[in-house]
Amino acid sequence: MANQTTRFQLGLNSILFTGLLVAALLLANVFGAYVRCQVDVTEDKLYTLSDASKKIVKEAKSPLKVRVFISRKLVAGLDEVRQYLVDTLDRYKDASSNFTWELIHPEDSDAKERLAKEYGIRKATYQTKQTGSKESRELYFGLAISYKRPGADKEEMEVIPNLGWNIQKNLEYLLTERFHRLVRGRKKVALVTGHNEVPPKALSQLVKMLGQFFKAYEIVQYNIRGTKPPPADTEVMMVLSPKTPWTAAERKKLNSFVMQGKGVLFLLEGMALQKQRQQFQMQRMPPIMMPHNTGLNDLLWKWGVKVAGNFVMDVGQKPLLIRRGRQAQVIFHPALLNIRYSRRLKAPVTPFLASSLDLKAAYVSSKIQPGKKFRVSPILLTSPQAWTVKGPYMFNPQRRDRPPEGAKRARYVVAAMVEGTLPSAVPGSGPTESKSMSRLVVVGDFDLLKLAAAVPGNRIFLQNLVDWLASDETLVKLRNKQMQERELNLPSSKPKRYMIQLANILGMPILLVLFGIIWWRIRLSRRRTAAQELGPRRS
Amino acid sequence: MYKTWTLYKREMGEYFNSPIAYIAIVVFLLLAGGWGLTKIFNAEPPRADMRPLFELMPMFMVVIAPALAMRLLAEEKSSGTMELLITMPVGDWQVVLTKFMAAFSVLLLMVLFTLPFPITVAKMGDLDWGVTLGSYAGLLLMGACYISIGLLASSWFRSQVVAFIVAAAICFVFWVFGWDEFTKIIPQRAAAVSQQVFGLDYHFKNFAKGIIDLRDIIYYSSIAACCLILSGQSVQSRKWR
Repeated sequence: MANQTTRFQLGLNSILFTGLLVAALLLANVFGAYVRCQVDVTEDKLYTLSDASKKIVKEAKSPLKVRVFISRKLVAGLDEVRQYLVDTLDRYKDASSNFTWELIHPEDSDAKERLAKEYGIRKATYQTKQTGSKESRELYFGLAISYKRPGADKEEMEVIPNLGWNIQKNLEYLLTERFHRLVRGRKKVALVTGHNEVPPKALSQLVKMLGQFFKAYEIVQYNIRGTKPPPADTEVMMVLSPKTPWTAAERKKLNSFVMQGKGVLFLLEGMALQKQRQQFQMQRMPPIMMPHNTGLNDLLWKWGVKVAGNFVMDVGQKPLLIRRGRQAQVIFHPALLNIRYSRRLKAPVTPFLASSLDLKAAYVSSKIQPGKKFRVSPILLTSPQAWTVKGPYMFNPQRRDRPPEGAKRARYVVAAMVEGTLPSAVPGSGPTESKSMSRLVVVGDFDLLKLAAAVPGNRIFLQNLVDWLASDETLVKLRNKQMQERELNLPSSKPKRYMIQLANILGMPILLVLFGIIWWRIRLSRRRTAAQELGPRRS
Repeated sequence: MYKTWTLYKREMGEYFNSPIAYIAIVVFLLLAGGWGLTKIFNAEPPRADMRPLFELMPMFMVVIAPALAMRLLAEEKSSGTMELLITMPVGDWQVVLTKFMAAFSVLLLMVLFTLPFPITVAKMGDLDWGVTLGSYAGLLLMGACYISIGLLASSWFRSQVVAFIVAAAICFVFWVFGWDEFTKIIPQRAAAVSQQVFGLDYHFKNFAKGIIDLRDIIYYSSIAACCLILSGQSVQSRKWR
């Protein structure tokens, strides 16, 4: 009887102990759900709020409010995206006391639905991402940000009507870019005109395109031929492929702008298309490229760079689809460079940029002079197999030119940046050197911008350049966070590729089986030896 | 400590003196490599990204981990060595933990044998090692859960086959509850609970992205600890049943 009681007590204790432990573990999970402790182990810290984002929200002097409008019922998989959004907004909230956010389910009441509509947030169709799934639903999934800058009359607003599925790739950039605009306001970027940069009809289109690319800036036109200096609050000037040479007076204006410690972006072409005579046009002769004088090289050379009057050609180009109106043409020519930016070459404008750029470039010559107060650094380089051609050059997109015999094959610079205290390039006019750090970027190509609408790498590179020139690199690192195209350079020959694949798949299993067989043989021989040793004794 | 070490060596010997470990590891490597690497090498455009490899590894674990754990206690029961084992000067908990550690070591070895895959990819591209190592950490934690479930099932039955089937079924249920396709056919709220409470695969997603979240660690540790405690109690139950 006593034994039975002991067993009963043992059993009861055991069950109670187990129950208590399981309950404790459940509680740990419940409380753990409220603790947000994450370690981001990605190399580029993709899931950590960057210092730049924290800095922007900290700069908010009055409440920076985010209203998130999300339907209660989402399609499968979108919950995860919502959770990511919620976690990210919480991280912003942790960074600044002036940052607030609220979650609104518009379908809960008419007032909430009206509020969503007031902000321009409407339902959109979301479909589950899984293949074969047919579930689709009309739902709210957007947000509105409001901020009243000190001294401003009214609140400013930024709205993302539909966040979409892919926000996990670039949510931080999407948000911080908008916070940046609201908190810091827009700086002015002057687009220099006056030298037939683009046909007059295309100018408004160009300004519109620049406005879309550089949303953090206000794009203004500035005619360099006029008598007025650029607006005083201009941070960056853009000199885009002048077709006629600059005059001395114009160079003086540019020089005095640089001497104020401001930035200039030059997209210059070393070679330009010559106007063909009518008879050649009739014969459909390819256009001829000739060295092009912008009148800016003398000025630029004082600051250590110039654009040579030639073309850089490279191997490893990729076909480029050019659309002219309704016609599309695939061009595959060594003059069309496809530059893959090396993650190892870290320039301030290209951290982590792993995308490729498309351009048709001229060689940017640089002069590194020791002892100067400024620094010239290359930012875009060709492959070591590149070569140059001089004008007159018949540019036939259908023809794949090969390097001429004896051509110097080298890595050519197609874009360079200059930073530091620059000397005045026009002596006798104003200060002898810039009053603070000036920044210049010279790219030997205008197509970099022309192709930017179609080539994301070009667009991001240009946005980074303008940010760097405006001395506001906040968004540079964030912008590249979304470009995580980590390339895999597989061997071009298929048999080699299969060999690597097979070696990987079968290598370890074969080694393991071999080890097993050897181990089995060793054990067998040990057993035999032992049996032999024991055998005589037994007998 | 010495006794535990002796017991651990004995368990490891059991694995590698029989074909169990070899078969489990070879099957796992062939499945993971065959599926994952083919997807990585044939992706268009090819990316230095190990996600295809880690997409299906959790599913393979559903079968492989119970296979590794099925014999741990069931074999001792069926061969009658359980009584011998418990007369040794080691506690029941030590026995359970040592057996778990031995099975986990084999699993660790199995996962380590897949390291040539990311090394090859890293040689040919710019691999994010943070994400890859995070995925490995998640896989090991998930594997520890599956093994502890296998150990628990093994403590219930004398037959290894029955223990394997039951453990694989439990692991499969846990895996299915975290599967996106399953959550689509159940109500929204139930889907959230299903994923967060039962979905072992759901908690792996953060690791696969390169985020190590305390919530996921607590979750995996709780499941593993729970199953180990229940296994220990199951072994101890002979004293009061």
